[in-house]
Amino acid sequence: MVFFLLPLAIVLAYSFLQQDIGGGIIWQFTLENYQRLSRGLYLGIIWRSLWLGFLSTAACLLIGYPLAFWIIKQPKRWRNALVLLVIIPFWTNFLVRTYAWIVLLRREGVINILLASVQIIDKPLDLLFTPLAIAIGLIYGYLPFMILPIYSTLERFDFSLVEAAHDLGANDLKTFWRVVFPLTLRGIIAGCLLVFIPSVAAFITPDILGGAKTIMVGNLIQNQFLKSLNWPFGSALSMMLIGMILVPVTAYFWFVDDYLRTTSTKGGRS
Amino acid sequence: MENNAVDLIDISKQFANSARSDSFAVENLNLAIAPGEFFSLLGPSGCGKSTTLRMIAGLETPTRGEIFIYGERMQSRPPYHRPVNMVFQHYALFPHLNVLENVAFGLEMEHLSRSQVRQRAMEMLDLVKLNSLTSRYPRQLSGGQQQRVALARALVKRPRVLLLDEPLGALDLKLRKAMQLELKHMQKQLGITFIYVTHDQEEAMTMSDRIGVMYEGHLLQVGSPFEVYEYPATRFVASFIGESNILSGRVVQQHPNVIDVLVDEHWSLQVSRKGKGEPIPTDRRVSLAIRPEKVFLSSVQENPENSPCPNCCNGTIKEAIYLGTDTCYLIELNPHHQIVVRRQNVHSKGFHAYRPGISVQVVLPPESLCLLEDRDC
Repeated sequence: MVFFLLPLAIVLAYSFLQQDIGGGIIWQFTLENYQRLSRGLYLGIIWRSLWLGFLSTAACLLIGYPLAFWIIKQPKRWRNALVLLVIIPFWTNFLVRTYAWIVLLRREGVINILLASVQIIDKPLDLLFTPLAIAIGLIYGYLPFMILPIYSTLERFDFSLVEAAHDLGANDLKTFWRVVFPLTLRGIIAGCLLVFIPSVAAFITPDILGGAKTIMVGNLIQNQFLKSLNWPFGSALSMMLIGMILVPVTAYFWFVDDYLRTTSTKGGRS
Repeated sequence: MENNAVDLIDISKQFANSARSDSFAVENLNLAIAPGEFFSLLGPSGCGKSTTLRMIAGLETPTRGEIFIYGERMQSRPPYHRPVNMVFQHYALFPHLNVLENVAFGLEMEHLSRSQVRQRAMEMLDLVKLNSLTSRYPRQLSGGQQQRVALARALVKRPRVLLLDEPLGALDLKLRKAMQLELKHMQKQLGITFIYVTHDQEEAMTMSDRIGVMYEGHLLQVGSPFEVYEYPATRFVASFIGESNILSGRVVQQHPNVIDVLVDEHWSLQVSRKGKGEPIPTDRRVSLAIRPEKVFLSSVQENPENSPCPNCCNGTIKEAIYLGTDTCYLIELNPHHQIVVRRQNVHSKGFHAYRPGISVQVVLPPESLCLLEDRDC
């Protein structure tokens, strides 16, 4: 707790202090840093971060859920191997993996060459250094965080409930919405939080794949600390980011998790 | 065929990724079930009875063969479009829905108004005596109550055929007995065809109009509880349903009313010919089955050895096991043969007719012996 709370307290304190020339700070209370946040430039960046975070979370869910479902439907002996495949990227450094996307996305990169060779495009697409490239990088980077919690809830899911729903007249779609979805909601929410939080705060991916054009909150904070040397303002940005993330997480644990816990555990206790 | 509730025509099921890939879970099964009938599929675990039930429900697709329900072909019709409902072995209640919502689930899939759904669900909960527990969740219910919810959830759909997959398996003995009678009663009251899967022969005998005995994917015999018990068709049926003493022998001579069978080349037994049975060629290997309670038992003194007595044999009591309603005797006829005999304990307590070591005479009445052709099972 000390290692977690102490730095947080320092950052909180810094956010109310003034900047000195050359990276120092002046010990004088001010709200200026927070006032500065409400400027259009910063609001735009914050909004863009949230939007990209939301998009990559949604995309991860749309890719990750069917993938987790597909894995669970495979014969038992294949399942662990497939889960391992999901985890394997973690064995390599995140930075290296993100750089690898440059090779894929750039004008003379693998994707453009492939698309050109099957004559879908006649001139290379500008994929790198766009918001799309950032989104792709985020989705790629955080997809396992979506798959794993969903997979673990599906693993505990009793598939005879699907048969029961079918037997009672529910087609595949209705069975999914009325039975499978509500009973795997905990995994979905956990996955979404695990993807959304680091996506919003990401700075490596937008830095590498977004070029200098599209700055996200993560980059902004990084710049304040390392380039502008404005630690108080960087701290204020950090506090705001923590605040933004805290809202959905607390809301989840206060209202939703308890409810889901009582209804999604398997029956049979008497 | 339109007159039958369910017709299974030459059904086979082979699982693609089973360990024994060449074996069939169900093979060439033919069965017709009449409307309003309480039919049980009985057999040991792995005999294919559940698979058969699941094929009727549409949860498994037969590899070969056709299924008709009330004359309608079920080929490639998904489970949610079949006029049948199922009570699952472990109930498969929806844990996130309460009792009322569980029962209403199936009705909500039909195009009914909210009030209709509620009304019919409540009616059904009245019938299974759960109307006071409507807002409980499955995990807050006892096993028996969960079982009733599962039953109500299936019956509320007013299926033409109700499929039950060992629904009482998880209940304790007392509750199971009570539920057996209740199920039978409910079935008569509603007039719905029940197809009931169980491995418990007593349960099948108690409830069924007819029983189909299955073993290793084959339907060995179909008949009333009386028929399958009194006239088992194969060795397996004779030993799986109730107890049987089984003796191996060969046919030596045929008379109009009886068949002579020689057991172990020295013990000649007469067997009554049962009705329409086809003639069995002489020298054919056969098995003889007799129920423990149908063997006559007397002490040697009562019956002097010189009196003519077909199917008589002397033996020694090896063991006498007191079982409450009856006593079970293990009798050694000769070093190769032991038979089990049951006697009801009709006399007052403490009366033991035969103690171990006593010499007795057993009689295997010709009309109680069942002649079974030796087949695989």
